Amino acid sequence: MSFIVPCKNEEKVIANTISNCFQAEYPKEKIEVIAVNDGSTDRSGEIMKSMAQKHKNLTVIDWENNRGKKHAMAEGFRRARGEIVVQLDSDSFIDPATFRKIVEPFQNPKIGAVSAHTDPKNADRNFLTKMQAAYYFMSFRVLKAAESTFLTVFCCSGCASAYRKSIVLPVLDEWLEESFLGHPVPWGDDRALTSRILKAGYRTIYSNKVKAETIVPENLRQLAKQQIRWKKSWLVNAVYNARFIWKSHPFVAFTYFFPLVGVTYLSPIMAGRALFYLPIVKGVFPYYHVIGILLLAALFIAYYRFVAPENKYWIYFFPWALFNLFILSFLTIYALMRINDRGWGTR
Amino acid sequence: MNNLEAKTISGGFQQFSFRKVLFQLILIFFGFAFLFFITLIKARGTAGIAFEPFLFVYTIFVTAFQISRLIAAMFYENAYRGSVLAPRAYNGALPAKGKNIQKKNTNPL
Repeated sequence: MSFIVPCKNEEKVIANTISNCFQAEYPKEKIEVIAVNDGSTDRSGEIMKSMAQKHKNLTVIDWENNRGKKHAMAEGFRRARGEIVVQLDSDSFIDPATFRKIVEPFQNPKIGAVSAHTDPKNADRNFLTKMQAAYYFMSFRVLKAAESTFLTVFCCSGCASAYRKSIVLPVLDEWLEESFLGHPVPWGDDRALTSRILKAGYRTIYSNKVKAETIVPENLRQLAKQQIRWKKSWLVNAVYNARFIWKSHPFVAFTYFFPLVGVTYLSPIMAGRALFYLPIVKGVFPYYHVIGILLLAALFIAYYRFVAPENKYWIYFFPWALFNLFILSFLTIYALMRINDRGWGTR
Repeated sequence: MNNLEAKTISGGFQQFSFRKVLFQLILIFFGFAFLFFITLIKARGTAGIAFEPFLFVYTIFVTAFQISRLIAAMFYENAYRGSVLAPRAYNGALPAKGKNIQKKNTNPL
């Protein structure tokens, strides 16, 4: 069992992330952690090296110059000794008590990757983070769960996911060399890797039994940057997936993937039509459109409350639905227009 | 303060959760809103198709798709247990049944 923790300038959290890996409820001698310092300019590298003195199963790869998260992950995969490799973001944590559950599904030889359930660690920080807590829960427990019902999760989250190394190694170079419109793609590493596993004919699933936490953006600017990056990676990846998904997973392709692509591409156009064109040009206000979206949100919340009555963030899914309608849906157009800007745009 | 105490019929006490009541009120509100919405659609549905057919069809399509995801999510646990955690079939030769015969220093005949 190997953990890969790529890291750039995370001096505040990196020690906790590495310690968290060693706390996993799993035979200690079978845990290996590979931490990659990807050209940090803060004290991250120093902290990682000092931790390597405490933990003999910690390997630190220290790069002077930043090469990108993909390269850091690839290096980790090449060096990993375990067959199951858990990729953790440097600001993400897996609940040690639930860790064993991420390994369990690999009993099935067709399973190539498992995505953990991730919630925001800083959910209580402000209104925005509370909305994201509701969105994360819905995104994992409803959307990923729905994909997992068909054993075809399209994105095993980069926050915390496990991969079968023997499946990843043969596709590693293709994944590293991913390009779109002639330029390398620096973002969406998790989505791209999951696609390659699916293309190789393996199954990807989500496990709600493995609990992970991550730090989410705390202000609008950070959130917008993250969403634009995610939308770009989604757009690029949808093109890649469309080429093979109808052959390898025809049922999923026609019942899930292609409708999803259609809905996502059309949503900003339809939102613009309902919110601006019709009221301004035809004097018809979008009451039905907004009420319909809130009703749909209510339906999702009813399910949310059913599966997680203890989760206190459900109410924030209403404002998230409106936030998505009025702001995030239009970011899809912006992301499409800026698709050739390959900057990371991270926090 | 969110938690008050309310007496149950059996005489015991249960936690009174403001959030729980709020959730139930919201569900009731949305139940009524949903009925109202259906009435409106019935009243203006035909006109809507003629007036804005693309938006109308798109809305129905999206709603159906979103609900299908919700329904698929409901089967997640079964799919997980059935396809992932079920014991894998062994490819080699194993008998369908096994019998354990305990034996010590007995005459082989």
